[in-house]
Amino acid sequence: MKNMNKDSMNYIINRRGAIKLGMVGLSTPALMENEIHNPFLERHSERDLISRAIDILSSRKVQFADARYTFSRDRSIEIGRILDTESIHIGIRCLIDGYWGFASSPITKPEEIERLCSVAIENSKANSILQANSVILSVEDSYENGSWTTPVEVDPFSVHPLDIAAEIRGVFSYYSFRGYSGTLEFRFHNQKKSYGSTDGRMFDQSVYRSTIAATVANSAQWRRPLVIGPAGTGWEIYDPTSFREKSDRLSEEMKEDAKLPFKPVDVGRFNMILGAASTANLLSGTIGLATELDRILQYEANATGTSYIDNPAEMLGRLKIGGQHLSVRGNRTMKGGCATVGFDDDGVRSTDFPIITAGILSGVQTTRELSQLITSVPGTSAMTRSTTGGSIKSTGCAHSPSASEAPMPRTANLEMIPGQNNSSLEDLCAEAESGVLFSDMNIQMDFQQSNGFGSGLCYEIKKGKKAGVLLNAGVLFKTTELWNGLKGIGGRSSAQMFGLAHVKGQPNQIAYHSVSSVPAIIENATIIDIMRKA
Amino acid sequence: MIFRYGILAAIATFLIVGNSLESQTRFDWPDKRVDVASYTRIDQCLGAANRVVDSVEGGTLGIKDSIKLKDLGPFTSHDSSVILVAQRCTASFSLERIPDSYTLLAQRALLLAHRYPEVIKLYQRKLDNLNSLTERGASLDTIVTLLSRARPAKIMLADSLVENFQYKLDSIPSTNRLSIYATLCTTSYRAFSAFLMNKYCSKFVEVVYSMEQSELNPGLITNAIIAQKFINFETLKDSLKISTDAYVSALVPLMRKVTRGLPVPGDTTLGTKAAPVIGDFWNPESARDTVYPRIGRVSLVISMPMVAAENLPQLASIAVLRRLVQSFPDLDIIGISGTTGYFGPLEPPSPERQAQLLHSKFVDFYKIPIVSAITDNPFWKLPDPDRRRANTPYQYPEAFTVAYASLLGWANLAGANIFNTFAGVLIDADGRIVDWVNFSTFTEEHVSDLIGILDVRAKR
Amino acid sequence: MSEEQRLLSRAEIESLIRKTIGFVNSDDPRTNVTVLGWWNAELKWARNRVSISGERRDVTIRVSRRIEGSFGEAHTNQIDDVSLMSVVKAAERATYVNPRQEISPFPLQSPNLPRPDAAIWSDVTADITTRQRADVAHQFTSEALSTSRVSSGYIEMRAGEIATCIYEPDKPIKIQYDTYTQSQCSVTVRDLQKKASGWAGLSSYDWAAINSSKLVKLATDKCVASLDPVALEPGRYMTILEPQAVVSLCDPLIASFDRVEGENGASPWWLGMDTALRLPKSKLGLRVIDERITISHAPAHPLLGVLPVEGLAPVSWIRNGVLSSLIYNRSYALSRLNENDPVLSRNAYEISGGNVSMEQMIESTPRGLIVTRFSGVSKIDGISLLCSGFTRDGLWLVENGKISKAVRNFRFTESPLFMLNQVISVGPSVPVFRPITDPYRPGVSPAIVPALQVNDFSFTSTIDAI
Repeated sequence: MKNMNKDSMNYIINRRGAIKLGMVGLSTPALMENEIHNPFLERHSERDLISRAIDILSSRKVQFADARYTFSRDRSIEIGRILDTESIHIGIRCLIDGYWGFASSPITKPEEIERLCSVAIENSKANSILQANSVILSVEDSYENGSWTTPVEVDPFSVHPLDIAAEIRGVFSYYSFRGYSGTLEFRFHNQKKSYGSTDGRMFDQSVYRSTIAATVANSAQWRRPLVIGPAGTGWEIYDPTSFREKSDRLSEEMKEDAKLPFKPVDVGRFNMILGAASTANLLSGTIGLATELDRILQYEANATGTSYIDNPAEMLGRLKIGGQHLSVRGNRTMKGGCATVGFDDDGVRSTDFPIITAGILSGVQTTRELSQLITSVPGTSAMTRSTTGGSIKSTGCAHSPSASEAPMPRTANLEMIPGQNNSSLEDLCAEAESGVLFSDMNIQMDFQQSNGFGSGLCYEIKKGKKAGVLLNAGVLFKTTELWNGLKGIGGRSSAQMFGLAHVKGQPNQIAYHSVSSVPAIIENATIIDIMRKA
Repeated sequence: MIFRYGILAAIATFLIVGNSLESQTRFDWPDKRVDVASYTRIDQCLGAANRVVDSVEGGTLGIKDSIKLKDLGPFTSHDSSVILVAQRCTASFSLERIPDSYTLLAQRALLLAHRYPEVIKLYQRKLDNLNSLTERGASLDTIVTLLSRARPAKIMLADSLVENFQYKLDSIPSTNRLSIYATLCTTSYRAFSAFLMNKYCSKFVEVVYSMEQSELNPGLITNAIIAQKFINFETLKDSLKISTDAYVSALVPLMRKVTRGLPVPGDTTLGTKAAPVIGDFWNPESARDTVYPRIGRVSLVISMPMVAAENLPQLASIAVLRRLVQSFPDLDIIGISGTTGYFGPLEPPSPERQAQLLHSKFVDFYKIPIVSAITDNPFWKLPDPDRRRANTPYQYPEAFTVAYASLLGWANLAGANIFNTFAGVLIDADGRIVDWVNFSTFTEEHVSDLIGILDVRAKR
Repeated sequence: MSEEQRLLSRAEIESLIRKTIGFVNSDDPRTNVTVLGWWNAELKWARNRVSISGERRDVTIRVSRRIEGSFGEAHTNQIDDVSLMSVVKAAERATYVNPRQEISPFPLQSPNLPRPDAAIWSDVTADITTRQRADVAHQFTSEALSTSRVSSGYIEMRAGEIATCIYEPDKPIKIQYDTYTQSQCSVTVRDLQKKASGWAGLSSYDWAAINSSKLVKLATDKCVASLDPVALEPGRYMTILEPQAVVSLCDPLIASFDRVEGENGASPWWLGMDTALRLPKSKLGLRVIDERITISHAPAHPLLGVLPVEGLAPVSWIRNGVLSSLIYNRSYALSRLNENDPVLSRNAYEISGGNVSMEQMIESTPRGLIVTRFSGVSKIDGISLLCSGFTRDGLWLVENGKISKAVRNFRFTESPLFMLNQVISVGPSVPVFRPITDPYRPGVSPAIVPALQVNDFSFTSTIDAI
């Protein structure tokens, strides 16, 4: 990793710039009046704290326990606003007699570690004495002292915020130079995590996530978002030249759209062409979420819902979700993915695995605990579930946004396998001849990911070309019908990666994952007017 | 004391050294030094040059300095270290290697590095590459604005740029042309370049003349009148030395020329005797018994805004006004206003209190010795649940309304809003209205000259 | 475990704030410090077993500095000296990047508006033990086990504190400190064949107000009654909406009560330009919904307490169907109305109830639907407030005044304004499930709403999810 700011002494910004970045308050009288609380006495490295926690937990006869320490940094920079947020958390999770207990806190003192261990254990035991249960964890490859960092070219936190502010101004000048305007915001996230578990796994991991959220506006009416990421990359997410080119292209696209006729949508069944962004949203909503095993097994029944895949033991290898062009892999090792890590929050090495192979359900997303329940019948009570004795490995989908929150299964990055014939979006439009094109689509799914509707920027396609902008157009679909109508998909060169966020669980947790997708044609899609009532 | 510093130094050391130990949040920023040698990409380098100048300037041209009356002046040069960074940074990149998309970043860096001819070349290349007239117009407009904002001293640069593109300029949209000329007109005035001022103010006025009557708006007319005053300032000054009548008879035709001979609202009041200032609340109270404007004194009647917070041009106006007060201690400044029922974040004040607060804002905060005459504004309230206050239509004596600029409230001019600042009415020692003036850094010299002449006449 | 381990004490927070302000070293020391602390006890069960139980706490220190007209802000969750010093430094650094904004010649004065008293703290919620939570969950799971159904659910208790300080030089440091609690309980009961699902839930600042046995029974009854749903044609139905369904459709309505938007166009409350007065007009004073409906909030209401803020007064947004108040801030109040008090938004509301019971509503329905709750409600249009979403956990057909069968879920497309204009009858108002899910957002968000019987509710397509 390059560090853009080495300690060379060319120029120090002087007083008038008011960048007094040295020590704050060397002469602060107020500070002197306060008693200095000496940080040296209280300092412990993350590893010390984690080891201490694991020692305590091991001595307390737990079936399994792990401890996390996270240091999260967030920086957002837009014109007129820069916000730095930092937080440190420590979290303890333990499994005793089939019950999980959890405790977390921002305080990183040894006494607090001890307290957290006790609280977590107390939470497990309070439930285990009422009712018997058993949880079996998968047996995973062991390692010691794992270490992983998102492969970023330039650490975004090493780029000076004033450089970024200057960059934003440069972009704005360029916009006005080209005769349009816009907004631009950079968001960077980094989390350093130290993990240890009672079965001997320890790792340090530093994960980066970067986002550029911009809009380009030709006028008050013609404004469109230009979002790059979120993605598991560094400052290199911003390439000044290609960003300017993308902005230009978007502005041109709006000018072209302005020349098209605006039409009310024709309700009915049409060929639907999906831009890669629309495909990504649909894959994430209909396949990513639906193949999380905890949803399938009704762990989310009281929250975001369950899944149309309701019997994995029967459906795996049999359920036809889509046409044979549809192959999707879950991938937590994908370069630049938001959900790309070295180790998941169960301490399992990240991996990639099939979810849909040629239209057939071929895998689900699991954790160490859930992987043992694939063969169980969902909905039955915990005591009657069958387990696989630890033989089936986890797909490594445990995730918690920080040590403050307990891990839960979250969608991996999704990778849609591109078509062989290398078609582009334009080729697909030409192939479809007539229909509708959703270049970007927001979707709203029901609580089993089975029915949903999408809406967004929609064009009428005639003779393979854009013939008009359709107002209030939406598509109503059922997951399996939608993907079984898949007639053709774009090739490798049309693949794009998008970063998406979902909220799940009780308490709510937000998690990001990336979807690598290609444009697609769906036959006989039900096109509706989203504003029309019954 | 030694002990205390010892601990602080220890903390400081910790901040610097304690990298791998993380039990605190420390909000590290990358090093604040610009390491030119480490920049391998042109955007990094150009960005750094811009960053340095941003940090050093830090927007200081604004509020703080105008209020402290510390005039930076148009020619304040950059710290030599800034120039050094820019020079070192731009040295490694030849013009050919700078892609079009970096024109603006490069412009600033090259300007800082004093590589002027290359800036021109850069733009010529850029403009040549643009095909559409609209885009070319917009680009040139932006360049000129940026050049003049960067330093008024760069006005020559902007001039040569515009000169080089004269043949293309005639074909770009008139709004762009107007804006380019207006920028150059005012900037050259600020840069004390009489030649360029004349050139561009004339061009600005020419464009206005060439426009259809229907295209004119109050903002444009006002700006054209100001440009006319710039161009003909010497003549106007000479006539004012003779008499107010001579000044008015020189000025009114200039104004009406802009409106194709039609009267400009309020221009008939020029040269007439100003109506006595009226007010329900006077500050100081003793002023109530005096008739303002006073005979024998040069007076400025200004409006006092009822807002709590100020924006930058308005504060710059205040600074101009304050410098005028310093130069002309005998000048009478009379503030007029009507009550609106509120004042900043305070609980709705009584009209008396509001008048008092407004007065003290000028006298105590802005340090402008002012006589204020504030009218209790009649109003009614919309019925519940709306309850909004609606002021009864209220007109201050017409005598104080000149050229679209009503003295009540800020001049809210549509169109090219380059002179959106504080305005007032200048009255000679005989109590006759001389002109409507506005207080901005562009017009400061102008106003100051007029008051000087009137002052001399008054004392004669 | 003592309370000190759950939250920082008031004294600790005050000294933390004073210490933070002590690290400010500048000619212009104006500083805002906000400290948010919370403790959250969570228990989740699924498949009739507790899947995780835990306790979490956190604290957030938000420092914002104001230097020569520029604002800068930074947040941390560490309270040691180095972190506090650094967060002040980070906030100051941000001011150098941020542009100068307007400055005021007068220091901002705190308006000294009255602060309401509100019931938002309950010792029962704050003192709950791990064992008590386990017992409640056990009650739910054993009930489901005994009837061969599958129960999933969640209970949460939160104790939180918020302290704010606006520091101005030469003025004594004044710290506003408040504490609150929130508890929630919700349960989904499903049958083994996944052919039926029932839900019940309630949230309140006071755990004692939540009757878990009642929730167990309610969710189970709904599950039993919703077995084997049949598909109905989409269309407009006379509909009985239970309070939980009403509240999720009314939330977008409550969020739209903004006076400035109402006077500027992009709002359901925009009326037009009054040419005579040359003023833009909102629909204030006009009847906008059924005259039996009043939507209001009183901070002193024992069930509607919210975090007390200065100037939070009782308000009626809609009184007897007439739009009677919209939100505006103090600066609007001062400059447009020449009044001192703002009308502040709040996280709570009450929709006035009637006296028609659910049974009476059913009896008076020749053919219609009963909706338990909606899921995934999202606004499609900002002016008509048209929303879309799904019915969930219990939908029944009523024929000739009797519930005849369970119905498969629908997607709906409807506006709360249309719904409130089509009211046939109104039930009594009751508290509903409406917790603040994000512990970093301080306060509570109670609502009491009635069940409604309405005409012509628009269901646009059937869905398969149960």
